[in-house]
Amino acid sequence: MSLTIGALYGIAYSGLHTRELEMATISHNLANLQTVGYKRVQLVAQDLIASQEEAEAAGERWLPAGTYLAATRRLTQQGAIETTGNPWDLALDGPGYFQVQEPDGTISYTRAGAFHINGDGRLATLDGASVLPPVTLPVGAQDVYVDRRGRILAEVNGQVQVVATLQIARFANPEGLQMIGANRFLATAASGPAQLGQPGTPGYAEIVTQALEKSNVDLSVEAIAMVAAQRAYSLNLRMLQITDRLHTLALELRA
Amino acid sequence: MIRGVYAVAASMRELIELQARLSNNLANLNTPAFKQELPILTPIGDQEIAPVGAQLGATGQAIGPLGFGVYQGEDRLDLSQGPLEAHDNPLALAINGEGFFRVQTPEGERFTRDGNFGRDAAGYLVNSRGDRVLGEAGPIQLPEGDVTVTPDGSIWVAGAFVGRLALATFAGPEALTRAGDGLFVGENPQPAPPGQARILQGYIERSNVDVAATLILAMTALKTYEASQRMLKMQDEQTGRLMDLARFG
Repeated sequence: MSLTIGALYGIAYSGLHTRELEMATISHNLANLQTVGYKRVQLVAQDLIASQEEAEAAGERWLPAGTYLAATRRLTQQGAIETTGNPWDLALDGPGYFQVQEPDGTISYTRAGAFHINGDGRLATLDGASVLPPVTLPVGAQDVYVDRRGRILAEVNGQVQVVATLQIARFANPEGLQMIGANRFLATAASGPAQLGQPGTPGYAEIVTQALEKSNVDLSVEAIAMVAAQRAYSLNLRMLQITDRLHTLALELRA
Repeated sequence: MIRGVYAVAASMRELIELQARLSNNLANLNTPAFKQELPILTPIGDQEIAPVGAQLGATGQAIGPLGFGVYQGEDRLDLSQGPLEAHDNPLALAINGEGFFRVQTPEGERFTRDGNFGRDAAGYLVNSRGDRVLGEAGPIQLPEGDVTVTPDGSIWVAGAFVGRLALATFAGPEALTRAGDGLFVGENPQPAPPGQARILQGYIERSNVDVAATLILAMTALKTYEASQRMLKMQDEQTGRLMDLARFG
């Protein structure tokens, strides 16, 4: 019992399928070129082998079985910080995530710091989820300012005072966070639990006020990856054609 | 004549397997640090053929050698260096030179050149499967902070020495068996002598697949398969005619 022609179709298909996923991921990155706090995603393809039994039956140490998508990685490197002038736009300069309370009560984490003060006077994301720990401005607060250590200063009754302090979360393995859309993430066993701390302390990002962290997608990097994926796709297509020709030849033997 | 059929059929089977390895090369064009297989088909022991009756004492002259088809040479794993590419992951490590990273997997110790590493929840240096990477003193636990890896494989975090990567080398490609996921099972690993390889931080090794060589081999294999198929049909027709003769003779 040796390798069948059918296995050849499987190998060529695995190459085509993995490249398709790769191209979809690149498109996703490109679509998020302007998304605040977005981290680019990269697929990790790995090689596959047939089972040990199959290899032994064919008298080989191993039989190849193509490729597959082994992992999806988020490249968490810092995005550029761009000044916006909006007082509640907060950018993180360094590692860490803002904590956000989802409508169902779970806590999610984000680096997209485009916040605003909602109707209840609380600091919230643009889609209305509260930032944790809750920040509420006292009535009559004026000239609000957020410093690099996350302290929110405001002038209340003619006196400047600290009205709240932001806390951010960091993770042993931020790549392990699970994306839930809207650029927000949940902690998982892979990421480890959130470790809370004050911005600007060792290991935690500083807050840059009136600024946003831009997406870390690099247009030229993605464009090159797209060309490489397309090239690899057509090469796998060529192998599929050769496989098909081999199959036809084998079938003709029956005639 | 039947002997010819077996020779051709064996070649055709080998060509399918050759094609599998070539397709696999191109399927893994974007697999980090993938090592290609470029099998070389070699003829199986030629046998001298003499005319029928020669063995009965007649002074028949030998007809010539008859091959028994082809098989793939053994040393087909190409361990040559793949191109290095800069990568945004600060824990992406590439080996420039000979050697393999050692990783601890549930199936036992494995060897890889794919150094697109990360941290797990406990802070250990892991590969993209989550297997722990081995240093000279076992798995490497990284404290929080910026990691610096020097070309000799020493790892520093925030200025403090954490450990040194242990690279393994092997006698040759025959000591390595592909295990999938960029991993190899290795026989008799030896510690890499110092200076044989440099570790580059922020780089990954791309696959070493030679697209042109793979395509040319694949096209040659297809033509050989086509020729073999015709030979097989021809010999089958001849056998058929012989049987017709036997029937009416």
